[in-house]
Amino acid sequence: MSWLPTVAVLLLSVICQATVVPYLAVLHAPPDFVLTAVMLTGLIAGSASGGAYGVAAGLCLDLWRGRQIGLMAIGIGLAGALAGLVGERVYPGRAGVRFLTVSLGTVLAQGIILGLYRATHGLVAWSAVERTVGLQALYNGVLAVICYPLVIRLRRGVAPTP
Amino acid sequence: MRVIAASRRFWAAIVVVLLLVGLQAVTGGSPRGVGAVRGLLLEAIAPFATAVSGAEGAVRSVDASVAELVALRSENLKLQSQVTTLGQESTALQELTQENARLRALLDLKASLTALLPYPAGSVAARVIARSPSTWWSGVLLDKGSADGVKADMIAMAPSGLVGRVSSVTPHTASVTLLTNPDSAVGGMVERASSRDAGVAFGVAGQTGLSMEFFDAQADVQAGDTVVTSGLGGVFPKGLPVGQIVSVDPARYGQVRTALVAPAVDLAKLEELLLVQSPPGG
Repeated sequence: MSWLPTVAVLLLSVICQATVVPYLAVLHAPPDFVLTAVMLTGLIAGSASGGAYGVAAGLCLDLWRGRQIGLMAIGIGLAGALAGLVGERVYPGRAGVRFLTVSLGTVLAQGIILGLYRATHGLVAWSAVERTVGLQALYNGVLAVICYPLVIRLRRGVAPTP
Repeated sequence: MRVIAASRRFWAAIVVVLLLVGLQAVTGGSPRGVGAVRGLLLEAIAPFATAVSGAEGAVRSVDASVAELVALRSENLKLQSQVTTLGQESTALQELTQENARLRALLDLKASLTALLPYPAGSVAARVIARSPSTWWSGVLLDKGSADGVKADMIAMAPSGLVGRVSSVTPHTASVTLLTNPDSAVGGMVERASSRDAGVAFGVAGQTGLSMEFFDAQADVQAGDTVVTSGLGGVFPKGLPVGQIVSVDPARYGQVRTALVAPAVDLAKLEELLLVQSPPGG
């Protein structure tokens, strides 16, 4: 039953992303609750959990889109795993660690997703993407600082000790 | 000794009774001197009486004030509750008025589409219940599905123009791929009579508008032109508003002339849509 909190965080973040988040966009850049939740989970529970959770969350988003299943799973899974590696080495309780990890992870994940999309399928307006990803990285970083206690509570205190 | 004491009390009582009988006999008419004594008595009593009376008044006043305060507080709470209820009702009324206007616009759209479309097109009105959780692939989820007559490839319309296409259906939901989604493409043409140049408008990841590639490298197109569906490709019928040209880039992709098109509908604020049957064989 230890997977239940993870599933709860996953569902909560996807539902928020599909309903509330579009109204929170700043300059057409919405925050990404799913990506933020994945990286926070990675920071707290380690690279294996972060990666697995990222793949599961990415598959959810891929299935929602209905095409190129696996595209977002790769990007978000890698971001979750890398956040986990950071969390295994640096104490994630520090706000600066969370902010930097999630902000850089957002840039990395979106870069992987759009890079793969560009390589395999379609067009990307890079100038617009840079602005959107930049704003989203900052937004997600702030969210990570704010939402950390919530994720900790949902995961019932499985954070590594400093 | 006991007998003597008892007799003293007896005689004292007799004296008192006699004095009182005498007094009442004396004061039975209009006694002189009693008024003065009484006056002195009343004058002596008056300040105390006034004070007591004042205190009583004050007590009565405080009592009345407390009662009034309690009543006011109760009334205030009642009024606050009424204000809250009225505020909620007013908000709900405004919401209903706006929804009514939107649904009326959808009905008008349905009527105008009936006149515009060359085939008998069934339609279903649906409400947006969620949006795509992905940053780059825009879409909406509707509250009507195959159980309500929604089918894949139906055209999603808002009163001001084309929104997208139904990409998948479940019994109670339908997913609509918006025009700005990179997976979406629509055949369009310039509505202006002197141009009528056609092309394909498609979504680009990261871009809020559509990119339109014209078939003719020398296409007569300028900012401000309205783009409507061309009917080519068979998915969308001809003449539905797609958007407006914002800028034209003559040589962005070699020989192909491209333009940026702002959608006719604000795709970030969709609430209700009309799903219209696509052309037969489309």
